[in-house]
Order: sequence, then structure tokens, then C-alpha cells
Amino acid sequence: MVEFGFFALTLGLSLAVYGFAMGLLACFRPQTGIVLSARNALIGVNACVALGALIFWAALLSHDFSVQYVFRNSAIDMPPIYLFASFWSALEGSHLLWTLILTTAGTVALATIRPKNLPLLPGLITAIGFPYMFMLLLTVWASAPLTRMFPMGQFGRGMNALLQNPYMAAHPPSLFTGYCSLLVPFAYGMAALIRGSFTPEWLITVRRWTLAGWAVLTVGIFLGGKWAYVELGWAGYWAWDPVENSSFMPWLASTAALHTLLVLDKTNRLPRLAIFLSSAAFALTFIGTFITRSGVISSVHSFAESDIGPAYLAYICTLLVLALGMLSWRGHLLQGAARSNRWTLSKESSLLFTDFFLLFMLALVFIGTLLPLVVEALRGVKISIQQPFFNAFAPWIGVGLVALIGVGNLLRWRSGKIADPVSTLAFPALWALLLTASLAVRKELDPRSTIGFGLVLWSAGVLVMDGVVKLKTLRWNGSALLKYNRPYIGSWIVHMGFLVAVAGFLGGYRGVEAQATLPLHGSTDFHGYRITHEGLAYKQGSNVSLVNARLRAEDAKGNVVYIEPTRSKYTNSEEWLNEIGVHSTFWHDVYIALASFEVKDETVTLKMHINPTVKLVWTSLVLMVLGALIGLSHKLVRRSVDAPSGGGLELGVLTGSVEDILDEMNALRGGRNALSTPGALLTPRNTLLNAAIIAGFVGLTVFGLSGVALAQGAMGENPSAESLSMPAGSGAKPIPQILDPKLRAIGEQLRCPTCQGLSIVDSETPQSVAMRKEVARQLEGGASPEQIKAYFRDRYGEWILRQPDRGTVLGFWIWATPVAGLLLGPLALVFGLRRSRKEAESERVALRAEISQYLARLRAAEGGR
Amino acid sequence: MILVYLLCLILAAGMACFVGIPLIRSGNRPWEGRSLAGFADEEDLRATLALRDALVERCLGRPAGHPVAQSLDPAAAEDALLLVCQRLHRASLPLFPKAARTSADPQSGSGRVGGLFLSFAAALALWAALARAQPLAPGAAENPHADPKNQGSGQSQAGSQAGAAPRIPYPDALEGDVYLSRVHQFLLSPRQGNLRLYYTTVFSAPPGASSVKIAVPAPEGFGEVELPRDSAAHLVESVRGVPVFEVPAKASGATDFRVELSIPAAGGTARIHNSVLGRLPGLVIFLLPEQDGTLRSLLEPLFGMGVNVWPARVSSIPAGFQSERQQDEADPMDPNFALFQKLPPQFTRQLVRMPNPDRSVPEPYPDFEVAGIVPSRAPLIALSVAVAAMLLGIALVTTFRARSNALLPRTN
Repeated sequence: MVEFGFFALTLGLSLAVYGFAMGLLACFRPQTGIVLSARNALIGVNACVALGALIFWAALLSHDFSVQYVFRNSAIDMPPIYLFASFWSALEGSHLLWTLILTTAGTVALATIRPKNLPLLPGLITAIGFPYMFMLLLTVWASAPLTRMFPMGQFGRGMNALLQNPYMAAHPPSLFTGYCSLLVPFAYGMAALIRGSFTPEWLITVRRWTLAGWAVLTVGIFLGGKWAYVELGWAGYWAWDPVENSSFMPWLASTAALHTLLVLDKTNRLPRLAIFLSSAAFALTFIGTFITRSGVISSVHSFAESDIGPAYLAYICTLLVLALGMLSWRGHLLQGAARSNRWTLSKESSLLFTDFFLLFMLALVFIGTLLPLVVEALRGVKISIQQPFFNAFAPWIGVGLVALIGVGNLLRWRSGKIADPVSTLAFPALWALLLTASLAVRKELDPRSTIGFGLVLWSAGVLVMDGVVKLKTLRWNGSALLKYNRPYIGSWIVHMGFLVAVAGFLGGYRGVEAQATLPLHGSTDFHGYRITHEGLAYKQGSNVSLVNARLRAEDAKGNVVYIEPTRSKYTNSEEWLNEIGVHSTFWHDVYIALASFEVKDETVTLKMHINPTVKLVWTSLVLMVLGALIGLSHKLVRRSVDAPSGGGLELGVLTGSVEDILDEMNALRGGRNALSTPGALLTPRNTLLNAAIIAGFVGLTVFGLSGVALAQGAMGENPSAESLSMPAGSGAKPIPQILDPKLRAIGEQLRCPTCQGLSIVDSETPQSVAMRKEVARQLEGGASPEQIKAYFRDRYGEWILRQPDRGTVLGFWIWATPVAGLLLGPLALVFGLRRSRKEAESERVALRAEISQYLARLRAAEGGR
Repeated sequence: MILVYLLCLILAAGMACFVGIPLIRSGNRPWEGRSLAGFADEEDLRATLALRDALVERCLGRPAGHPVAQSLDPAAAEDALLLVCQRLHRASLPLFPKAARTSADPQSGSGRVGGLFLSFAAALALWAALARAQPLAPGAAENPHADPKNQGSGQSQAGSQAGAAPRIPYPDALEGDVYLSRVHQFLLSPRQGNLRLYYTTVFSAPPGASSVKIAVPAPEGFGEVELPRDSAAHLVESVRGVPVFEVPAKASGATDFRVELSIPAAGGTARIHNSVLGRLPGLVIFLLPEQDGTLRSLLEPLFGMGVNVWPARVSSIPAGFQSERQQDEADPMDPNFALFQKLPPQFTRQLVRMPNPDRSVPEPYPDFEVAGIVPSRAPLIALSVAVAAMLLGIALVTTFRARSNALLPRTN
């Protein structure tokens, strides 16, 4: 059956080539037979790939070791769930999964195309067929999962032990689903460019797919973070690893695309930017694969390396060149392209600035990820750009976005007018001020956290008030809000989720860390918990040996829980891996890793963390996905209702219809909107509903913000020597060792020579341990941090520093460019908009002159008669 | 492997019908969605043109047929007309009614030639790419069984199981100074599209000889002869269609010699016979690893051992040979012993013919088939290309027919 599976994939490739060629032909010669045949071919590709995937799964589950991939990535003793997940545990399988999801997304898009989008079908087929061809070519040729291996193997080598984790079983499929969903917005964008115009339902379809892709991608990214949190043992969830960055880049681009599509929907502007962002988001999904699979950057994800990098690079470049070429060639034909360009202070302007911050972050991540490669290729110098570099800019971008969430939501379309500014701006400011001051005094917050929490609290308050204003604008018609404005409610919850996530990041990335060695039945006090070691237990899984420490954790109130950090050794690996013991309360995690153990006397060394705000990060995922689902539940036939500057109710703008023209004309002339409709009256039923809606807004806000307060409270009580000391008479108990803050500060600036993305503080490799000892020795000798860094730089090169040295020419430019971009970018945006307005104005003048001439001719002709 | 081909044909036919039927049914009917650059659809364009005409009327102070335009004063109508004209201008359409012409359309002009050219180019590129594609190489030696060094252990084991002779015999003279050994072991290892043979022999060199020319009794149609890396032997000539190697002889004791060969099995069946050589004297052992397969276990009772379904089997026992299927036992001292227990039983088929002490009795070369070898993938690739080529052909014929009938939509 393996040969049959191979044939199915080969036939899929043939059909993809045929579908693409016919789609292209249909763009020039749109015959029904050609179009439908090409569509069927692409649907047939999906069927072929599904068949190939099923046969591949069967080979995995039946231990068919005559298949090379099965032999290399599964084993006879693996549990069924990981046997199932080994499908995507290496390059060839993950490619096949990606191809399967990609073709499924394409099939759904082609099969559910709405009647009004049918004119786009030839272009859609062409744009979908192109990635199909590439992926299938890889699956059949360079990265073939069904390659045979003779003589067939025995037992199987097994799956990478690090990947045998439930989160990792779910992470790749969700990430790929997010990636592949972005195919559809890209294809619709290209189809619109090929056709030279949007269809009436283009925007609705593209927004839904972008939102769905964004939501699934968010889940995928968070699952990856959760895997890192529970599996890698360093208590973090995001290390700015190149591959993490690679999944983050399409997320940023699709987030910007969503905001731009909103501008396009409401004001019929920025169609080219919307298509560019959709295309960029899709192209960026392949960057991650290029980075992971090409081997150009070593990473925690480098288990899937191969030599297909050049093919990927060529494909990505082709995709980008085609997309940009089409945009520059035919972008001006789209409805709304370079429309009036009157950008005043308004909601669309704030969304444009949101795009700026998101794209700035995208550029930063893109450059930070790829620049070391470029520098090495051009100058032969190895440099590192890691966490400290990204963390230097991310907070400022966060500040910009949080502020824009507050103000931008209040602004109205085409108007800078803010309804009831006292209630909507001043009241949240007062509330945020009082709450932040109280927190800062009681919990001893540092200035950075104080400002950050203050801003988050204010922005959250403004969001709540915006909800109230929205209801008021709808004349307190709560049912209209729920029925027609689910996208608004969804985006409200997503934005609140984002604020909660920012609060989670603010609370301290990895909390407090300490290390303690406990003899059997020994105990230590850590951050309000008494941790007692009650012994080691040994377990045997089907393909793993486990050693877990049974730890009794008792809090100040006498509540007892058991935490069991574990070390695991898989049959196919010589390495002992961490399985973290976590006690999760609503507000914080007690996170313990079993650093080492002695079998003879059962002594254990524990790495303990209190992670106070990590829960908020996971909570933010729930909120964001909930918001996206509510947004997606909005029925396509219903158009959202919004409050225009002139009062009354306004239906969302369709792209380029006659109504749009009249609507814009009214806006230009400052008149009332042409499509005003009356709102509902205030009734007792509505009053109750309104109260419930406002309570919901407030409840969600309090849910997040109270979490911040309590979690930060736990953070505030830093484990000083006093707080960790034992009561009188218990001097025999070991005191957790906390890393010297000076050593930590320096260590965080130096990278582990063998791990990617980790500092010597976070890594436990022998080299990192030796480097830590050297730093400690030099600190004892009185060396300054700069001298110590210079010592390591001289021995390892520039590369050992986790961020470029500002003192060098190259380092100066690497630091100066983003700073200049952040400062000058908004100015450039303003000037650019003013310039484009002038160009539009000159075009208008020329047209007006032509119209006047024409009317004069008509009048003259009429007079002559 | 007829079953695989059958399944592939069914799939190919199904897909060809699914994709091809719209070409035949809908043929050259024009697609409903025509390109209207800058406009959502034809209705949108018509509405815009109607609005423009109405606005022009209003600008001239006449009554306009359009209700919205009618509600505007002349100055407002001129503003609105400006916006309408802006849109027409960007769509490269004429601004005014009397000069109306077609919209800018990628279907017009050279697009037709370009479309055909691209279709041909795509077809040619596909053909070229697939013609150059090599059949996928089977996996490199991934496990210890692939290593020729390990074949020695198999030999001794097999020898002992077959009741090895107490002394190693001298080889028979084949032709001139070329000898044919009297001990032959063939380990048959099915690969993708061929059968690999690991041939091992052992003999006592004639007294005083520093080297011996030994003929390898390879089956007809053999190829890819490979010596182990550390072998001192070298190929010298060919006698009766089989290769002859000059092997350094050991001064005392037995001289052993190993070589690898392969015979093609593109269709899944490889025949072991040699009518030119005609004989194979002495002890002859064929070993074939056997795995269980669901499909084989279903079909074997119906069609016998020779059914061409993977995993491979010896189709018939050659005359004079004893056949035995032995289960591979795990060594309890093996660190992988626990894993062995989890594996499905592994077997080896042994075909053994003991030497006849009477050398005058003919010992013919065996003639049998190994069926169920994984076939070559080249025919599968060719079939998939053929499907695409057929569909492309139908599509192009449809297009040409439409063109010749002048039924293609004109871009108005």
C-alpha cells in the first residue's frame, strides 16, 4: 500500500500542475470547462494527499519499518498517541501534514466559494495551485515521507524524546492549520489583483479566513510556549528563538492585515496594504520552515534539518516577487486604491498607527532573526541577536499598542471626535491612577511595572467605557449589539485578552528562581511554601524510565499539595530529560525541576521558581480565542452596525459600490451619512440586557486586572534572606540558593555556546556551568561587568554576546536603526500621507478641469441647438 | 504487484473522470465571471455608469433619472461626478458617456497567445522535470543487516544448520583455470524494484596456488556487481555469462569470498535461474527473510505463495531443495531483547540442497521465482504524468476547438 500512497502523492502533484496551468489559462481565457476542471483538479489533489497521508499513518501504526521515515521516527515500544503524532515529528512527515492541511484549506475555500466571488475563481485556482505544486514537489521528491528502506529496519529509532509531550503532539497541527488558513486570504488577494477588482463578498471571505487563521495560529504559538514551559525546564515560555520568531512573524502580519481589512471595510481605503499584508503573512509562514529545515540557524527546533533550504528560499523569493509584482502592476485598479487620502485624526488613522507598530515589530523580529546570517555571509563575522535585543524594543511597542487600544477604540470613523471624553478618558485615568498608586505603595512595584500596569489599567478602563458608549450610540439597544455587532464584541474581548497578556509579561517573565539540595525527608521554605522531600519513586513506561521526586508543599494556611518533578530517560536517548512538577494556583505557578538526584541516599537538587503572572499569559489565550470565535460567529449576511461621526447608525461599507461613493461624498462635504437607520427604543427588557452586557465588560476586565494585582502581590514579596530563613530552632534546614543578582545580570548577557536562544544562566550545559563559575570568580576578583564581557568576547568572539555591542560600528547601526525607525517612522507615515493627499488632490484638480470642459461643451452644444 | 497497479489505475481513472468531465460537459461555454477591473461586478459597473449619466444630467440642471442624483444640487452633483470619474479613470475607462469603450482587460490582445504559451510551457516543464527524475533510491544501509560484514555470521549459522561438511571441498573446474566452488550461499534481500543477492562461498584452494579464479554463479540478468570494501579479489573475465574473480588463496585452511549482485524485479518478481551455466554443484543455500503482511495473509490461501504481494516469498520450491521456515530467535543477552519480544515474529526461509557425494550426478542450477518484491516506482510516475498529459491534451483541444468556432468570450 505504500506504493499506492506514493502514487497518490505523485498523481496529486500532476493534478496540481494541471490545476495551476489551467487556472492560469482561465485567467486569460475564462471558459467554464477549463475553470471547473482546474477547480476539480485542485480538489482532487486534496483527495490524493489525504489518501497518501492515511497510508502513511497506517505505515506508522503498523510499524512498517520498510518505510525509512517510520524506522527513523517511530519505534515498536512507543505509546499509540505518540505513534500517531510521530507523523509530524520530523521533516518529511511534517511536510506531508502541512500539505494535507494546505490542500484541505484550499478545498474548503474552493468548495464553499460564494456566488458573488465566482468571478475570482480563475485567479483563486492559480494562486492556490502554486503553493500546492511546491509542497507536493517536495513531498514527492526532496522530502518524501514514503521512501522505502531495504533491508527493512527493526524496532525503529523512535521519536525525538523532547517531542513526546501532549502539547507538542498538538502544537504542529495547530500551527500548520494557522499557516495554511492564511493561504486563502493570500489567494483571494492575488485573485482580486488578477481580476483587477474586488467582488462584493471578497472582504467578508478574506476577513473570516484571516481571523480564523489568526486564532488558530495564536493557539499554536501558545501551545508551543506551553511545551517549552513544561518540557525544557527553564521556566520560560518564549526565548525569541529563531523558530519561535518565525511563527510570530506571520502572526504579526496577519494581525496587521486584520486591522487593515477593518479600515478597508469601513472606509474603503488601503486595499493594497491589505493584500500586501495577507501575502506577506502567507509568505512568512514558509520563512519559519526555511529557517528550521535549512539548517542555516541552529535552534531547539533543529531536529528537522535537511538540505531543502535552497528550494525553500527560491520558493519564498518567487512568492514574494510574484505578489509584489502583481501589486505594483495591477494594484492601482482595485476599488479604493489611493482613494481620497484624507487622513485626519480618526479611528482609521489610529489603526494605521497600529499597523505601524505591528509592522515595526515584524521588521525588528525579521531583521533580528536573519541579520546574523547576513552579517556572517557578507563579513564573515558571527554575531548573536537574542532576547536582550528584542526585549529592549518590545516594551516600547507594547506601550504604543496598549495606548492605541485605549484611544483608537474611542475614536470614530473619519472623525477625531470622542464621544463624552470626560467619562471615557478621564474616569478610566482616575481609576487607573488610584489603583496603580495603591498597588505601587502596597506591593513595592518598580517604576517600570508601575507605569506599565497604570497604562494597562487605563486602557482596560477605556475599553469598558467604549463598550458603554457603543451601547449608548445604539440607543441602548443591547440586542442589536449582540445580534449585529459580534465582530465588535469579539474584538473587544481579543483586545482585553491582549491587555491581560501584556500584564502577564509585565509581571516578571520567569518569576523568582532558587536552587536547593534536599536530603531524604529534608525540607526548605520557598516563597511561602514549605517544600519537603518525601523520597524518590521509579516508574517504567512503555518506552521510558521515570524517576520522580515526591515533594510535599505546604502553604502558610496549612494547605498541602504534592508536586512531583520527574526526570525521564527514553529508550532511544541517552539524555535525561525534565518533566516539570507544577502546582498551579489561579494566580501563580510553583514550578519545580528536578535538577539532579542521588539513587544511593535519595538526595535531590531542585530548581524552584515562583511564576506569578504566567497564568495571565495562558488566560489571555482563552480570551483571545473566545473573542475570535465570537467574531467568527457573526453571520455573513449581516453587516455590522457602527456609529459614524455624524450620529445615527451606519452600515459597514462595501467595497467600491455606488453607495460608497455617495457616502464618501457626504463625508467630504461634512454632511450626514446617507445610510442612517433608526435605532431601537429603550425598553425594560433592553435595560436588563444592557446591564448584563456592561456587567460582562466589567467582569472580564476585573477578571484580568484582579489577577494582575494578586499575582504582582506575590511577586512583590521577593525571597530575601530573611523571608527564606527558618524559624528559630530549625537551623538544620537547607536554605535555597538564589543566584547572585550581579552574576545573573552578566550571565543573561552571555549566550550558551551550545544552546540556541539561552543565556548561560538558563542553560545547564557543562560549558554554561563553567562560564558561570568563571563569571563568579571574576566578580569575586573585583572585575567590572564590562571587563567580564570583554574577557568572554576576546575568547569566543562577538558572537558570545547575546546582543550586539553598541561600541562597534556594526553594533551601533544594529541598535540605531530600530531606534530611528521607532522615532522617525510615525513622522514618515504622517509625511507620506500628506504627500499622497497632495497627489490625490492634483489628480482631482485635473479631473475636475476635464469634467468642467466636458460640461461646458455639452452646455455649448445645448445652447447651439 | 498487479494489485498496486490495479489500485493506481482505479485512482487515476477516477481522478481523470472527476477532472476531465467538466471539460467535456461544460466545454467552451464562457465563464460567468468576466474581468471588470476596478468594479465588483457588471452590476456595479452599470450602476456606476448610470449614476455618472444621471450626475451629468444634474450638473446641466436637467432632471436626473437616478433618485439619489436627483436629490443633489448641481454643485453637489459635480462633486459626486468627480468621485465617479476618479473611479472610472483608475479603471482606465473613459470618463464620459459618448466615448464609452471596453474596460482594461487582461483577456484581450496578446493574453490569448500568452495563455497558450504558458500552458505549453507548463506541460513541457512537467514533462522535462519528470523525465529527468531518477527512481527514488532505496534507503542506505540503515541497520546492521545491510552491512556486508554481518553476512559472515549468517553464513556460519546457515552452514551449521545445514550440517556443514567436516572439510571444505576443492572447487570444481569450470573452464580452463576457472573454478566453480562447491559451497554457495545466497542471501536474498528484496529492494525497491530489484532483488539484492549477497553471495558467499568458501573453498579450499588447489595446493600451491597463490590465487584462484572463481566464477560467481550469478542468475541470468544480474547486474550491479559489488565487492566488499576490504576485498582483495578483483574481476578478471566472464565465463558462460557469469563473472569470474581472481581471489587470493589462503595457504592453509579455507578461502572465503563474498560478492553482492542484484537482479531486476521492476514488476515485483525476480527469477533465479541460469540456463547457460546449467549447474550449481555442491552445497547450495538460499536464505530469504520473511515478514508477515496482512494483504499477503489474505491472498496467499487463494493464490498460493507466488502471489505478487509484498512481503516477498519464494514462489515455488526448486527440485532437489529442502525448504524450511525458521523463526529468528532473540538472544536473551541482547540489550534489545525486550524490544524483540514486542516485534511480530521474524522468519527466514531456507532453501537447502545438500551436496551429492557422487559427483557424476547432475546438480542443475535451481529455477524459481521470488515474488512480492516492492516494484519500481517509475511506472507509477509515468502513469501520473500520463493522466496529467491526457487532461492537458483534452483541455487544449477544447480551447482550440472553441477558438476555431469563435466561441470565446469577447471582452466587452
